[in-house]
Amino acid sequence: MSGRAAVAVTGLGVLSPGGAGVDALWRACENGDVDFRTVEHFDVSRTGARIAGFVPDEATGPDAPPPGDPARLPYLVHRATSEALADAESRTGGPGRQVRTALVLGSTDSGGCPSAAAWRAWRDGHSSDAASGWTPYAPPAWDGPVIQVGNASAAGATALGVGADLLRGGIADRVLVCGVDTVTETAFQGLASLRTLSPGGCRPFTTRRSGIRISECAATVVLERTADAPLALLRGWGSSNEASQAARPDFEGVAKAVRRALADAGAEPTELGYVNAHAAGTRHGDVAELRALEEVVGDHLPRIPVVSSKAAFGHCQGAAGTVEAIVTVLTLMRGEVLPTLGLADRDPRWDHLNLGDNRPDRPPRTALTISCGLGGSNVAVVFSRGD
Amino acid sequence: MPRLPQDTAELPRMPLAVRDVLGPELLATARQALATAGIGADDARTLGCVTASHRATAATAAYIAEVLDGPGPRWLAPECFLHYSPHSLTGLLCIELELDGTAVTLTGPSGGVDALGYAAAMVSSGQLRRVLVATAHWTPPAGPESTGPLPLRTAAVVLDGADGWGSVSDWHPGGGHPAVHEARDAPDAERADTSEAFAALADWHALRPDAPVELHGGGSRLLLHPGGSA
Repeated sequence: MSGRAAVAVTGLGVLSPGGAGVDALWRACENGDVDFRTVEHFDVSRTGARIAGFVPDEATGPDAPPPGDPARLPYLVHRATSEALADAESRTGGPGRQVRTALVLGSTDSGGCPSAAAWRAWRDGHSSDAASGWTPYAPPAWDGPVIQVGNASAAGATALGVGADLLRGGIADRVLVCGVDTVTETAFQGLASLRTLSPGGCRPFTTRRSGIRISECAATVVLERTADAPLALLRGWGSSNEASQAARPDFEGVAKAVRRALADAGAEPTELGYVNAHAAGTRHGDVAELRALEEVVGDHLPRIPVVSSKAAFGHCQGAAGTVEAIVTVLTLMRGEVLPTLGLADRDPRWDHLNLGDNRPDRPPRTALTISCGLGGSNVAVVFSRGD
Repeated sequence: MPRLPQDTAELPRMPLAVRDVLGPELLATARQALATAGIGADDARTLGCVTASHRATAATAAYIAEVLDGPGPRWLAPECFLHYSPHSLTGLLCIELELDGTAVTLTGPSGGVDALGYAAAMVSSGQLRRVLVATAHWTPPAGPESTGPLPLRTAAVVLDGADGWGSVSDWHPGGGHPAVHEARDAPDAERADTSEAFAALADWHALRPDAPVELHGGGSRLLLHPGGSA
């Protein structure tokens, strides 16, 4: 099976509720040590769910804009992107030539300029300048193009696909893909009214799953057309937009995205050694996703660890696809599969599956990550080890 | 049939304005583009969909902000948040028209040109044979003086790798985002209308000139080449 050209993953950078950096992210997945706290920057006293995930203060530092400050999102992008670029250049010695570097931002809102701010400015008799938060926090030495992807909770994963396409099409030489979102009042209360937030947090694959807990995060992946010693290879991606209802994924749509990603990668389902699932812990979403995997992977599925990182650090919204891609790349690099946390009450209908609780026979060499978003967006991305 | 609000202050009193006002308009425009391209309902399944939005769903944000600042979150219409994300436009088109290919939502001031450029790149790489590219422009009020109706514009085009007159190529995504230094000095970036690129493309296609034309928008650009048979 032959697919399109793979692209190289050369750098990673992340600020997550686990802290700053990939090691803090890994520890968060390992032991659930994350900064979940009661939201204080807007009123949650009349909302059932009151907790969200935040990048810890010790990770952001004392000078960081606090939650609720419009400059917080640009700040997180700046930090994650700087870290990822430094990581890539420490390994490759820098591009060594003039390269066309693009930034692809995946976010649920309008690239960090929330629309509600514009409305409030008008109502209060001001002209809005929602973009001003970026002034001190442009990504490092930034002059390249910025492309913004808005595929709801699948924005980060879609941004990875768009980034790979930019490289494959010769439109850029290097792409920084940054998924990012903060905890905004609009999203929090909007999701609460939709009854999507759960006071108990994300409990994927369990009988107690009842919704999500949102988190803030910025996660950046550096992609290059080729590299001598890449961290991993992004081999392919696929998407579909299919749902009987905008808020409920259908298994056919998820299966289609997975099949397309595997075809784009030129990979057989039996090559997969790890799946980082969307698995947000909604009643219907987990069912649709696991049924889709059973459709595509068939009898091989029980041999593949299917893991949810959201059980550890919550739903990072537009950053979910990129932060979970980083977990997937780290899994391939480290050759270790971390389990889904909180499986004490696992749903018995999936007892035959390995939800990360059984160590695989061998370290995974090829992996899949899945993201789904409101509106029916389904996206899958295939990675392989860099060697 | 819900109507376009006649003054800005009406906007937050319509919790589902994106669904009831913008949605039907965008859908009708997309259906027209498919019909113009000779694509029936059965053939539409093979199409991808790329949608551009620069705050086109701001009406939902205005409604949510007004309810949160007034009566409180318990008074939010539960369904409103489904129409907050710009991807709700792509979702609407894909689900209603049963478009089955790759689905991408691009945002920001350069979204219009980027959507056309990215869709053209997907077609030229062979990733998709045909793509519906659509946009809606329903801007939030610019400032205190904006008190009249907020204009709603929608546009759609089908890019086809095997048929048609003219082609789209040489996409150069630009720097219209405020993260880019030069964009912060461009005062009009925030007011950018993503439908302008589609209108320019339609005018060019109608005139069928002999020479290539460069299309700009929000810092991005691409080339329109004459040629073809249709």
